[in-house]
Amino acid sequence: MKDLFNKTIFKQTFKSNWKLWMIFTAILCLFISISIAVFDPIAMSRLRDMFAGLMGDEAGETIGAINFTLTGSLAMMFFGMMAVVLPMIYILITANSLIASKVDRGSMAYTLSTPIKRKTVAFTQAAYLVSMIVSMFTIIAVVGLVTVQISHGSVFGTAPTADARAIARHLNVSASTVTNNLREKTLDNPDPEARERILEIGAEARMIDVEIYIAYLELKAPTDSDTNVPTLSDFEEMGVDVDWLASKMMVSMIEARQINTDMAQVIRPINSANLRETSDRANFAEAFPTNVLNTILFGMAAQYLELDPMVFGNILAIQTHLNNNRDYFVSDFNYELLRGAMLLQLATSQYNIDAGYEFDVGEFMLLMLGALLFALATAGISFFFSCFFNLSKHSIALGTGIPVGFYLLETISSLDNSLNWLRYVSMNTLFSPSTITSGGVFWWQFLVLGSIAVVLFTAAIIKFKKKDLPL
Amino acid sequence: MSLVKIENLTKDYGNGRGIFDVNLEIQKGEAFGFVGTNGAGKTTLIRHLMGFIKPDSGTCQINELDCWGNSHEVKNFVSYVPGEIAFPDLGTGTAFFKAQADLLGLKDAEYAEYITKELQLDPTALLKRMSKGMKQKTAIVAALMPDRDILILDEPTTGLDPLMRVRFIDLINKEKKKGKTIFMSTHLFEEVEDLCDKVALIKDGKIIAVKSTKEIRHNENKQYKIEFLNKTDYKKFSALKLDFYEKREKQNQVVVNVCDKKINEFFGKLKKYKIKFITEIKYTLEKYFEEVMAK
Repeated sequence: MKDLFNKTIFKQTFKSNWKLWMIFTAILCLFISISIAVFDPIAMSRLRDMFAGLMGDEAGETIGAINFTLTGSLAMMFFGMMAVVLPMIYILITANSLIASKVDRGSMAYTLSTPIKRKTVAFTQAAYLVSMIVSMFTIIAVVGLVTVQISHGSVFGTAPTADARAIARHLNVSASTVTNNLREKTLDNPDPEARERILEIGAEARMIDVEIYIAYLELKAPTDSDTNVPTLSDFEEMGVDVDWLASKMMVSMIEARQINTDMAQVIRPINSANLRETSDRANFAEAFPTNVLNTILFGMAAQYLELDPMVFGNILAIQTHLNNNRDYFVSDFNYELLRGAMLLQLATSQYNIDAGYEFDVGEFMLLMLGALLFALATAGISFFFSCFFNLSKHSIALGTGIPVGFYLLETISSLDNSLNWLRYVSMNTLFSPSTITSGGVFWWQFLVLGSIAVVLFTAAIIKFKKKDLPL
Repeated sequence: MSLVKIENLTKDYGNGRGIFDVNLEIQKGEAFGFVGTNGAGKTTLIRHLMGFIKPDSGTCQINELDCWGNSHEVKNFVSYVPGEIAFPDLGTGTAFFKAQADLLGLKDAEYAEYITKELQLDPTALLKRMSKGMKQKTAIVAALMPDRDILILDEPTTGLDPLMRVRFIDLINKEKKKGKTIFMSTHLFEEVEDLCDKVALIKDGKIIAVKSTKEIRHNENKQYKIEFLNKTDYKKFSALKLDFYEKREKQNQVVVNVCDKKINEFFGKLKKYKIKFITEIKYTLEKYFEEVMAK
């Protein structure tokens, strides 16, 4: 190591290059802070509802692929563009200046007329580039996390929502107590009067109807599924015609989204409170026209929330399906069902707003790591050509041309499906922020990016050691 | 034994460019000049010595260390002034000297200060704003700073005015007196004549001749140019049995070779003629090499 790394060279390089690094790091910090600070979950939720309305049946898939949380929004806005392009520009300028430009101008002669090995020079310059990139991303990550904490307070768990804070003030307890025991403090409050007041306060804080707020709470804090969950036989005991239920309601949904799941699983988490209220009634179908649909959908949402992030896409698709098949539902049920569907939509929207505030630190760090590895691979390419060529113009032509070409290829490939194959030519495909936020596979891509960096940096140092220098 | 040893060194860049089968030996304490036109291969040879390029064949050793394989160890003995002056982006000359001293691991800057004064250089000037001469001086200071045994200078006086050139030659002479070995390339014969003990002429990548400057300086065979006042004298004189190098009838001039031993006899003869002037034509390196190349 002592043989490879020279502190003096590192210091001197730092002295002459830190300004450029500062500028790029500052710009990136500014961008990430703004991207986080301006993130508005309410606007995001509306955007999602709009998509769902516009796209109809196809919305499920498309919306499922988009992550509407803060992390998802960052993945699109910051990691999809800024975190790739800006470090790339810094790298392209710096890599050339570290070796090729010094050889081309001739100032490398002074460094090499001292008893320092060539491979030490190349390794130290490579180490400089790598450590500058790493510290750039470390600083951006820290600034990002601090901004998230300051503007949304959601680095360490989810921040209390407006209604939770309002209710906490009313009950004179801490907001986190309310958040953590939401159902207990609201829907399950034994005193009906107090419960009504609390629900009013909560609804007011969220600026929605009490009815929608209740629906929202059902989504947000479903009952503990294991204790009070009715099974199919419970329904039968209550006199519900289960086949009817299935055929009239679920099947249409199942057909719509091809959800492969059995009835029991879908019905399991149905709100038991509603069931208790109506258990004395003989005919389930008549007793439930108002709440059945949204209750079951809530149940599904609760069921799937923990299993699959796609669930909201699916639910939205179902809603759309309901909207599209209004006549069918109206004739088969009644307008109350539609009302239920509307309630669901509004409640889901509220739920999504909350979800939007959610910030997944692990995912954020993975996005950072991906962007860092991508930057290191780019640095590998540029540095290799900087060591390979004696003329700056050649080093710049390939060291800049190839990374920029990759970027353009990826951009072009997304314009039309027939150009999709171009993706496989571009290195940019290896860092896909949306794959990371939608739970796709990314580890092997990370590995490839890392390997590209290691191989190219090593090759660069060997090349610089062996080539003829015009000094 | 020789400090620098170049054996059968060949680097072929194609189209007749490069250096071919170069053999040279430089002794410790010797000042060696290397003369040739632009593109003759001077810089290529120096790059080999500095380990910047790898020979196609042959070897190049300094202090018995291979200049390519042990290039970094060789630098413990060698200082270098590059032919093309381009400094790192460091602002002022002082900053550059400081950086270079750090790279070299030098602790005190006393010697650098001494050379700076000697060359009348203001090191606080910005490197980018420096004139060509100032840059050259800066490069020379940077090279002399570590006080190495061998000085390799690639056309070190380009850009220096005649006055500065004299000062530079003085400085190099001082270094030489300290026992340093000097290897410099130039396209100016006068420079190496003043400074070097031995001079090699390179043309088209090949060493044409190596000559000791002492032999040139202490040459006993001198040449004189004489112009006579009238044609009669000219005719009579040119009929004498002398070693004439050239006769110019139109100008009544002769150029005659005279050995120092026969100088009195020669002037005895010359007394009888009316002459307009007589001058000695100095025997220079240039002349010597011209003769070699003409052969």
